[in-house]
Amino acid sequence: MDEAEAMPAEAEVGPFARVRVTVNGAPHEAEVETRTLLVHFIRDVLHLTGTHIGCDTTNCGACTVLLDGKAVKSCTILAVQAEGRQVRTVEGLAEDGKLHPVQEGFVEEHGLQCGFCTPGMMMTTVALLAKNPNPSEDEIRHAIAGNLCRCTGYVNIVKAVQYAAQKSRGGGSK
Amino acid sequence: MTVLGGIGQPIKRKEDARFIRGKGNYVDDVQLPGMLYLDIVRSPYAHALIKYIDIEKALKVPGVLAVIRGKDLEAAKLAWMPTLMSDKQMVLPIERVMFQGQEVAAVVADSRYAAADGVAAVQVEYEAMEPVVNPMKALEKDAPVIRWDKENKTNHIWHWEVGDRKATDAALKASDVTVTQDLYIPRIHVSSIETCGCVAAFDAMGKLTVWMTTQAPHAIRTVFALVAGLPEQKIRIISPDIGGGFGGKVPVYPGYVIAVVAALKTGHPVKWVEDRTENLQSDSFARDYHITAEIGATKGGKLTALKVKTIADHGYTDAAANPSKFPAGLFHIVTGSYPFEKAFVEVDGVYTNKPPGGIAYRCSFRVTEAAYTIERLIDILAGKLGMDPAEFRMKNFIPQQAFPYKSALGWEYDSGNYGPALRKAMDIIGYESLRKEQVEKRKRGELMGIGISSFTEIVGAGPSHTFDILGLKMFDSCEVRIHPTGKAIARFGTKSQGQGHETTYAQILAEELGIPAEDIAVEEGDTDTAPYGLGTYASRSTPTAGAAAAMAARKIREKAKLIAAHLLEVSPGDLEWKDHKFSVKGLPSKGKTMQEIAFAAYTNHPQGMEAGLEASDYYDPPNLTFPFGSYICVVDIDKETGEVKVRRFVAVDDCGTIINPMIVEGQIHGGLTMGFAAAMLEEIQYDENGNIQGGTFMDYLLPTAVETPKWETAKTTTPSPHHPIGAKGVGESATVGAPAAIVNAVVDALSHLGVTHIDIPITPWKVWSLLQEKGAA
Amino acid sequence: MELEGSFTVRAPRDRVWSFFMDPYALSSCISDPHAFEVVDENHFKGWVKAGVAFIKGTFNGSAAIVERKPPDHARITAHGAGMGSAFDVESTVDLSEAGGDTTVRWKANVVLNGTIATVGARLLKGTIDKKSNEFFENARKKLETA
Repeated sequence: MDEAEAMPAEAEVGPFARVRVTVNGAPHEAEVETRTLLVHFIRDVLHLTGTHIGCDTTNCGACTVLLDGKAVKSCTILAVQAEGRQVRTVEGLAEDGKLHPVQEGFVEEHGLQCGFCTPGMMMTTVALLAKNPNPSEDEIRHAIAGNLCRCTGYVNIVKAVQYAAQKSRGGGSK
Repeated sequence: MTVLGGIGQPIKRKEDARFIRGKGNYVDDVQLPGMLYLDIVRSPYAHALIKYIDIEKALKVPGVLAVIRGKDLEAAKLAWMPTLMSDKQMVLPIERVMFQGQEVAAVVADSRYAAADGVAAVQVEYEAMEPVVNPMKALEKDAPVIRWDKENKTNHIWHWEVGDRKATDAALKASDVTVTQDLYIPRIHVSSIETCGCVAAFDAMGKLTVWMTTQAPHAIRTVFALVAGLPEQKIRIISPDIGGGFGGKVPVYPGYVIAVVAALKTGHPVKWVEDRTENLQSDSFARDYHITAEIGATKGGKLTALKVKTIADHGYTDAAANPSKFPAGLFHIVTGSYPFEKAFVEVDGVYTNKPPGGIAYRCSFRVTEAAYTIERLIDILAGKLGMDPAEFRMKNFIPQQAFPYKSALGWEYDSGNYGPALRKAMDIIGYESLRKEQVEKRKRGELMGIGISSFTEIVGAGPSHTFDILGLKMFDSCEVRIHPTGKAIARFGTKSQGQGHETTYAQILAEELGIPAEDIAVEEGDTDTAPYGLGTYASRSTPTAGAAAAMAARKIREKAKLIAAHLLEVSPGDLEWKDHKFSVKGLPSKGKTMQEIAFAAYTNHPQGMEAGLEASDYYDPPNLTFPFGSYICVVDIDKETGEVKVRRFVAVDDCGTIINPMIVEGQIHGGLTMGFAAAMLEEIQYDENGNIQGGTFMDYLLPTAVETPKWETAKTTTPSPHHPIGAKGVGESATVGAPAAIVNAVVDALSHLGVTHIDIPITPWKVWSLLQEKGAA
Repeated sequence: MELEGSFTVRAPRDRVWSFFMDPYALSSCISDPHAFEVVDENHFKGWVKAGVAFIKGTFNGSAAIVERKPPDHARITAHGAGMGSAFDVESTVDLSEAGGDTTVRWKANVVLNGTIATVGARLLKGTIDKKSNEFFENARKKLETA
C-alpha cells in the first residue's frame, strides 16, 4: 500500500445468508447477516427468549442449547453454522404439556432461584444424561462447570440432576 | 384435600412453572414494535479531558439513527444526575472522564449489531490526565484533585464516626492484651447472571414505561419524576423477572437515563442491555474497605474494647446505596456477637478514578465488612491469648438474657441465642475430634485448619425514624384483595430477584387468612399496580413487606370477623380465629371459612357495611432484625501448590421463624457460595493507569460447581419479638458469615508458622508464597 | 509495559538506518491491513486493522520520529486509538555495526488503556511479542534480500 487509503467502513453490513434450521422440531428459515450469532437468531429472530445471554466470553453457559443433541454455547456459534441442523432449546423440553424429567427435577429439588441460568443449566443436564444416564456427584459437578449459577450454590442443582437421572432411568420420583 | 401451604411448609415454588419452561420475562425478553437498540461508547482512559467527540462517521453507519452526547443531555439538565448519597454522577460527560469504561456517548440503531458498529465509528479525542488509583495516595497533599466540579478541592469525601473515641482508647490502653490488624476487603462485583438493562417507551399520551432491571421500582419512579421533571403519573416502571440482583440492581445507571432520552428523541422504544464486560467495568462495585482494627481483652480472655478505622474507596462519586443517614451503611454492627462496653468506628470516604458504587454484595449495607472484621479479630486475639477460638467466643457471647441488647455503637439487637448455635455447629462437624486430628496432622507436617465465624447480622431496614433513602422512608407494603370465590391477589412494594416472593408471601397470607397459598396470586414490580414500597435489598422483604402481608391479612380478618358474626348470627365477641377459620368459642363445628366469608362479602354482607374484602398495610418496622449464625469450616492445604480445599463447611443459621424451609435452605446455599467466592476467588483490581483487571468472566472468577464446597446446613430458631410472625430475613446471612470462617480456617492451618492474617481472596499464589516465605513448602 | 529486543542483519548500518527512517519501508513490514500518509518528514498518520484475542478492529493513529541521530540512534513515538482502547508507544532504535553486520537494539514502552488493557491483558504480552517479532523478522528479510 503506497498511499493512504480511506479508512475501511466500520460497518460492513452483510453479507447476508439464508439459514434453515430445525428448532424444537419445527423448521425455520430466515435471511440473516452472516455475523449473526446463533443466540441472537434464536432470541431475536425466532423470538424464543428462554435461551439467555449472561456474558460475552463463553464462560457463563446461560445460552446453552443442543445442536444435533450436543450442548453448545449459542453465543459462540454463528447462526449460519447451524444451517441444516437440529437445535433444541428450553422451549422444546416439555412434550405434549408434560414436563421433561430434568424440568421436574429442578422444581422438585429447588434447583433454581432467579431462573436466569436455569434454561442453559437444564440443556447441559439433558446432554449429560444422554451420555451418562447415571452420573456420580463429581461427574455432575464437572459436567455443569461451564454453567454459572449465582443464586443456588449448586447443591440443589446437583440434586435436581440426580432426580432427573433417576426419573429418566425409570426410577420414578424418589 | 388442598394443602394450605402456610408458614413452615416446604412447598414448591410457584414461579418455577414459567422459569423451567423458558417463559420467564426478563428485560431483554421484552420486544416491542419498532424497537431500537442502544449501545454505549466508553472511555479507554481512567482520567482524561475530552477534546472532541466526532459522530459524523457513526451517523453514516447503516442502521444508526442517532448519537447522544453529554452536551445533548445538558439542555435537559440531564448530563449529571444525583446519587443516592446526595453526590452527583455523570450520565454522559461533557468535558472529562473519570474512570476507564465510563459512558462517553451512546449510539441508537435499528439492531444490536448496527449499534455496536456505530459505537466503533464514534471517534473521541482525549487528553490523558494522571489517574488516582490508590485511595491512600488520593489523600496525599499533592494528589491530583479528581472532582474539579466541587468547591472543596480534595479527594476526601466525608468523615463519619460513631462511638466514644476517648473511652475506647482508654479501655484499649487499660487492656492486658490487644491486637491490631490491617484488613483489606477488596472491590468485588455482584455479577448477577443477568446484566442490567431496560426498555424505554413513550406512548401516544406521553406516558413513559420503562421495563428495568431494578430492585426498587417505586423509588426509581420517584427519582425519575424528580430528576427528569416528568409527572409521576406518566411514569410506569416495570421490574419484570430479574435474573439476580444482590445489590447491583439498586442504583440508577447512566444507561437507563440515556435509553429514556433516546426513546424521547427517536420516538421509538429503545432497548439497552449491557454486556458482561460493561457490567463488570462500570456497574456499581461492592466493598473496597481498607480497615485497621484494634481489639482488647483482659488476661482472662474477657473482651474490653474495639476500635476500627477505615478508608473507603468510593470511586469518582459517592454512589453508595445506603440509607441516607449512614454513609458507611450499618458498618457499626462491627461489635458483632460480643458485648463490648467501649467501641469506636470511623470511616473516611475517598474519591479515586474508578467506577462509583458501594453497593451491597448480597449483604445489608456493609454488614459483611463488619462481620468479617470482628470475626477475624476475635480469632487473632484468641490466638494471642492462647485460647481455643470456640471457647473464646463462648466465653464472650452476649448472653441470651441480655436481649434486647443495646450495643456500644447504638443498635438494639432484637433477639439472639448465640451459644447454642455455635455448639450445634461444633457437634455437627465434630469440633473436638477435628482439633485432635489437626494435632496429629501437624506432627506429620500436613496442613489442616478449622475456622469459626459466629456472626450477627442487621437487616430489615428499617424504622422510619432513622431510615430513609433520598428522604423516602423505608417502610414496605402489601395490598390484598380477596375475590368472591375465596381466591386472592396480593401486591407488594418489594421485588423478588430469585428469592421466591410469589411463594413465601402467599404462605404468610395463607397462614393468616386460611386461603391455600396456591390460591393467592402475588404480584410485584409494576408501579402502576403495586403499592408503594422501597424494594428488595438488605434482606428487608420479609422483615418489612412480609410483615405488611401479615398486618394486611389481620386487617382483613377484623372485617371478616364481622361478616362471620353476621352469617352465624352471633356477636363478634363470641368468635375466635382458630385452625384458619372463625368459629364460635367452645363450638368449633360452628364456623365460617375465609372462602365463605369472602363470598358473603360480595353477596350477603351486613347492611351498613362496605362490600368487598381487601386491605393494605404500609409496615414501618419498630426495629431492625438481627439474624445470626455460627459457621465452621475445615480446610486442607496442599503444601506443593498452595491450594486450599474446603473439606467441610457447616452452617447453622438462625433467621427466626422460617416461612419455607426449602427456600431458606436455598438462600443459605447461595449466600454461602457468594461468601466463598469473595473469600477465595473474586477481586477487581486496577493497573497503575486505572485499567480494570478482571473485566470479564475469563479473569473475574465466579465459583463453578466444581470449586463450590458441599454445604451442610442446620438451624436454630429464635424468633424476632417485634416482627408479626417472628421472621428475620435470611437472603444474605451466609454471604456475611462465610468469608471469616474460611479465612479463619486457612489462617488456623498456618498459625503454627506464625501466620495471623491473609487478605481475601485467598488464592493459591498467596498461600504458596507464604509457605515459601515461612520455609514450610 | 517495557519491551525490548535485538536482532542482527547481514547488511551495513547505513542501509539499515535508511530503512528504519523510511516510512514506506517500515510500512511494508507490517503484516496487518493498514494505510498511512506522510504529514511531513517526521510525522505520519494512518490506520491499522489489528486485534488481541477477540478484540479486533481498526485503530487510528499517528507516529513521529522525535529524535534522529544518524547513523545509530532514533526515538519514535506513536499514539493510537480505537475499539474502546488507546495506546501510546515510546521507542528507541540503536544500531551497531560489526563485521559488515548490523545489530538492531530496540526498546519500547507501551502504555495501554481501555478494553485492550482490560480484556486482553493476559493475552497481550504474547500478541505484542508475536507482532514485534514478525515486524522485525520482516525487516530483516527485506534488508537481506534487498
